[in-house]
Amino acid sequence: MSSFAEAWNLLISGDADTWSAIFTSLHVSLLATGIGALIGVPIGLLIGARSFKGKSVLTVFLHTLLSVPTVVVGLLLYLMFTRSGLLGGLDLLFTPALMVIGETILILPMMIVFTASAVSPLAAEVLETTASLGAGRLRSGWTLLDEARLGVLAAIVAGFGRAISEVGAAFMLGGNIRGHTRTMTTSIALETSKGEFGLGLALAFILMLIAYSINLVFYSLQQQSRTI
Amino acid sequence: MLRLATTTSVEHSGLLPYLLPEFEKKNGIKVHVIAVGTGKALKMGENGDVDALLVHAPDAERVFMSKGFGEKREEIMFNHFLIAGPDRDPGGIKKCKSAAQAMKRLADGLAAVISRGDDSGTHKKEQALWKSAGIKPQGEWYLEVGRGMGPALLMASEKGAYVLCDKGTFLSMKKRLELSICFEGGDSLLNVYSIISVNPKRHPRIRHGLARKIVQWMVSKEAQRSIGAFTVEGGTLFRPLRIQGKVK
Amino acid sequence: MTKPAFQVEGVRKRHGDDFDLSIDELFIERGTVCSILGDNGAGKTTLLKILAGLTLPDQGEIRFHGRPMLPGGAGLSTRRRMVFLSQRPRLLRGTVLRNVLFGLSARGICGTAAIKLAEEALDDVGMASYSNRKANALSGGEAQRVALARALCLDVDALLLDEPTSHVDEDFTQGFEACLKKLQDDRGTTILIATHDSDLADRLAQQKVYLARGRLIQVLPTPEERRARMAGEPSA
Repeated sequence: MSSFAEAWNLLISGDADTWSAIFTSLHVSLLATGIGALIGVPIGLLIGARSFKGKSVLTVFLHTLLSVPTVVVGLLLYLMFTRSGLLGGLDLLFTPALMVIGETILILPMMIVFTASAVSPLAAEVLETTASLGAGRLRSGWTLLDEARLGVLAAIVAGFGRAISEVGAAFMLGGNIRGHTRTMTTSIALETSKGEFGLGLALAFILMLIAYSINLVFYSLQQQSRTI
Repeated sequence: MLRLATTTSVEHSGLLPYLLPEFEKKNGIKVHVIAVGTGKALKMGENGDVDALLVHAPDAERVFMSKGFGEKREEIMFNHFLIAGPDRDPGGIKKCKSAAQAMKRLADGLAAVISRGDDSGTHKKEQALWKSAGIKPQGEWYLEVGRGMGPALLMASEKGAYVLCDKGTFLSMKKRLELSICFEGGDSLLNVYSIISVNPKRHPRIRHGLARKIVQWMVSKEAQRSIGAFTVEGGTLFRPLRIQGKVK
Repeated sequence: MTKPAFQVEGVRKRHGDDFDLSIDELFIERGTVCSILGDNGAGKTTLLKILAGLTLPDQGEIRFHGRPMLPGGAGLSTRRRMVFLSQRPRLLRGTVLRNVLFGLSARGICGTAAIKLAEEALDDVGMASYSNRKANALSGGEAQRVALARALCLDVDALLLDEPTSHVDEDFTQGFEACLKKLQDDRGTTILIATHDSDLADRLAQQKVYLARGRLIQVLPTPEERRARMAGEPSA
């Protein structure tokens, strides 16, 4: 396939546009995944570990958020950050920072729900064990997270997958500015709209390669966890 | 840094990566180009989300200026719209003598007609043409796709339909399309591009110094010459308005 | 007069649809082995968990060494004076040693001192060579022993065991009882054992509490016998 060769060429030749898009895709998704995990995992832990009033309502709500189309999040954030919007003064529209915010919001429900699911079946037993051995709340929570670590890692990997494959919000919030906010996905969308299917496919190959590499790293982390 | 909103047709043509580096070097800054439909670009200018606009919808632009959203407007280059369609020309468009006649023939519905339907400069031109021919386009033959010029052309190519497009985009995509030029020429199909700097009075955070500079630069001899020298597949896509002493 | 290890006052706790756990008054002596007897489902586990501070009663109060058991963070220091061993103990990820070290680590005891205590406890339960084994690779009986070691290595005033011999292999029963004896003799630990095994209770317990459908049926020695003992008179 000539797209394959084209992909190889783009990478090897150090094509500035391609490498810039790769860099933007990676740093936006990885940041979003990191921040999403830092916020989402503890929330998921709290929800999964306890029973409280309105838990089922909250759970259904969070599951619904999983189905929110990315363009909707993109639109809402766009309206907030446009000059005349609520947060317009922050000057974040058409910057990678706003893309990170958008992606983080998109993957947050996923992180919360998947972490809660991973933690929930273990919570009662583990927390009883830790409490009976005199552990405080923090240590107990941390231990529960540790016991559920495979599920939690899966949540993080899933979050990364959604972040790096995202187009709608990235397009709206970043403006697809060449060399600045153009990601692999928005590049593919652009080239496809120009009828440059070959180039689009080549970029798609590269994106898959990158996603594969990152997932390989995650996978080996999971395997290590299994044997510890 | 300067934020410039432009239309997808300008972006697709590849003119800006060719033209802007000179300006960027001269001023030691980067120009961030955001390509959207003309309607959206004007809205972004109105909201102060960008510092300057490069668009091609003169009527809408004049409204924009009259409302005080823009500070300075200069017409800088032009090309023509044309009606592209299948080579065998089922609607008999190739034989038409005027744009109005062509529009009437299209409304006969012998083949599908693709409309951008996205409030872009091209779409606005299309609507103006229907209006002056006294036709309200409707029926199964009229497909409003709400997409950019590129996808609209591809769709027309796939379906054997007619579509109004700017010459620049058509030429740059020609080799991927099974379409030929069915009608072109005449003043009604003139496609004028202008550069507008957003009015800083309404949005004090606008980088208006640089915005004014880019407007001035676009009409300078050097930029105008570059525009005229820009070719794709051996053809010029845009004709400068400010050199050869004449404003057409 | 030293305060009893546990004092139960007016405790009520919902226990399924059938009945509530309802105990007006109960004293458990310090340094004794007390067995809580009754059929399955009588409320033994619930009572034990309330005493351990793992569950809150709906009403009533528990005092431990005279101090009221408080919920949440406020009661943490009190809860750390005892350890509860579940009927089906859950071992955590990692090695046997890591599991045994957990309670020590929660109390801020780390390093070589902690490891020493952990290894001693493992030795007491006959699992000395299992330190570096994966906890999830153990049999039921082995896991039970590790759970016991996890509790034994801690310096606590009370040990609460829920059906401890239900999974213990026969060859360990003696060793198990020896451990408990050692705890009681060397450290004066109060030991509560919830069990339906009356022979075990006969062998080990100085105090027996009988529960049926959430209510106290009998406490031995009886309050009269207890008072007589306290007053120094020979029991009847």
